[in-house]
Amino acid sequence: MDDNSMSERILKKIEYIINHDSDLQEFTIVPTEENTSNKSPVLYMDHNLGLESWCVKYVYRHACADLFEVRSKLAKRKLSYPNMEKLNYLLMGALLIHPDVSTFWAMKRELVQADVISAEQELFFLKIVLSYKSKSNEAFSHRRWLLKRILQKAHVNQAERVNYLLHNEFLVTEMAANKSPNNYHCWNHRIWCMENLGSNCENIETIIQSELQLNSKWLTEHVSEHTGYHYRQYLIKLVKHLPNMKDFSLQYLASLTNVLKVKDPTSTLFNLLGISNKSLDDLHMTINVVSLLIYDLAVLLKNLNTFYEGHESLWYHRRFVIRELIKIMHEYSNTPFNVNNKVNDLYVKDEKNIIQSCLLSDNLSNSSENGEKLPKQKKVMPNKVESDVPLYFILIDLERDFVRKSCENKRNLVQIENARRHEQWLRLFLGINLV
Amino acid sequence: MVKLYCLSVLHKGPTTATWLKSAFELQSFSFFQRGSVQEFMSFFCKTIVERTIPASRQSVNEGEYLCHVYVRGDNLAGVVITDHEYPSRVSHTLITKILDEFSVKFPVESWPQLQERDVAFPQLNTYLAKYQNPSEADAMTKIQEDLDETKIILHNTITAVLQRGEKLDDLVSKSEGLSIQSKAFYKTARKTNSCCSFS
Repeated sequence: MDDNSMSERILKKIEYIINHDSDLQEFTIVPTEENTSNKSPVLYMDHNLGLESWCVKYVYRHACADLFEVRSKLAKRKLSYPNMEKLNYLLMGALLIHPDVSTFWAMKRELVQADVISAEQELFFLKIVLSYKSKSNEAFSHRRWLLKRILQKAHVNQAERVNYLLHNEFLVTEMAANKSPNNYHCWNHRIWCMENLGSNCENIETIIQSELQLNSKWLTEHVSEHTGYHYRQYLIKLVKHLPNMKDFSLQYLASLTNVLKVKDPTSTLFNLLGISNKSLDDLHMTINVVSLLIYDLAVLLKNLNTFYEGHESLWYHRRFVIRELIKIMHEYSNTPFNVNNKVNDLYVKDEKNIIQSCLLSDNLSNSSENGEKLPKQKKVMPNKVESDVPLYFILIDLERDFVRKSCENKRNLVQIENARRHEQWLRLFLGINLV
Repeated sequence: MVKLYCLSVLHKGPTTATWLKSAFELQSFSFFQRGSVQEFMSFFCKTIVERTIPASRQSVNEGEYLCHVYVRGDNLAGVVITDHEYPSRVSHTLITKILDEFSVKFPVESWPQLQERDVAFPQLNTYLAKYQNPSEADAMTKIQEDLDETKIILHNTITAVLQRGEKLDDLVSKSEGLSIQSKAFYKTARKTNSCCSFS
């Protein structure tokens, strides 16, 4: 009984702080030995909330017991409004300690549906939960449910409101991404927000631009986290289909003067990919994404590589960029592009799959030493892109330079191995021979 | 993450090392843990300096952290704690630079008597902020081509640095620089990590 009244007090105090401090930054459980001093285990300083670890088991046990008692009544909507109101502080405590219990989130949803708690309040509470467990998938999915609900209900001043929501989500995901490495839940949430909230914003172009800038800064700080590159790749694909970003390419082209001779975007495009009679919108879309991709390849990745030699993630992003560029070249000149065909053309005659052919080529150098027969590499006629498009040759030059530079430092074996693999990948999947 | 957590200058005496100046950047830790983390980083700096012979460099890999130490021939020591992605080369050059500046400002004779609170060396905080972005080090890396990376001794755990018969747990529990809260923090961290190792 004593334990229960103590737990009650602790839970009430936590609820009070969360409801009354709108500047609250984070929640955490502070490891302590057994309770030695006679004071409250709820720590509250400078808008930060902490709970001493010794009381966690009592508090959680108490909250669970009470919650499961009323669980079925709540689901059948047999609880009165004041009784439902009383559940919130128990849920708050239980979810802060253990945010992966779906049952409790479901109860939260029932409270939101009964208008006991507002969706906005919930978003704030979720931010606090995520400050402690930043990889909680349940918390993110509850967040998405709330956002959908808010979107459905909003009608007046919608654009402004959506903008605000999106901005808020950006802040929360940024916080969560910084809290724990490789936080895919959080970046996926950000993508979801771009798709569901961003599409309702009028200024989606400016949002994408600022996201790209923020992202390149984030990459310099988290160089080997693929999550960041994954998000960037998503943004690049967005740029590909946005017709309104007329002058978008200029800022990227400006930093590419050593690679390309820049006059104006359209003539640059004609120089790179050949003259075309596509509509102006199409041309803009293409030059936007092409300039961004070349920027990634020749500036962003090059700079990152100077300071962080030997990070695999950089090479993976490189592959993505090259593949996209080559795909665009094919689309532009209406030539069919199929990676699988490429591999098959080169090595495999019949039904063998790509993986087998990769394994095969991986052993190429070894097997020749053993005197085994090598599969003959077929001569493939270069298609229209591979024989005519200037960008294709620029690309090959860039790659050759990059691979050569990466092999310069003989002591960095990891980097040399990465370069070797990259060369192999280019040969196998794109049919590009650097030698 | 690319992160620089701690810069510290110490003096290695005949038996123990003393702190001359330290700077910390612990914003990425949760508010209530910053104190403990700081105590632990100081504790690590001292422990490692005491176990590094003069005129040598070591890098110690412990969990998510990399700790670089350089003890000069004249017993002035510098320690840098970073995460794994921070380039080691930059860390070691930074130590050299800091120690050079420190020895210009304070004469050799004064080191054994110096107290941390009397040392005015604000550059340390400036460097800590500036070098969060290692590309700032660009100009500096050129000067330091003489830094021979092959001579840096690399250890994969802190235990490898300890002398025979020493145990980290004992050092922690004996340490006077660590508060009760920090020791509890250490125990919990050990417990949570222990599931993945057989030690």
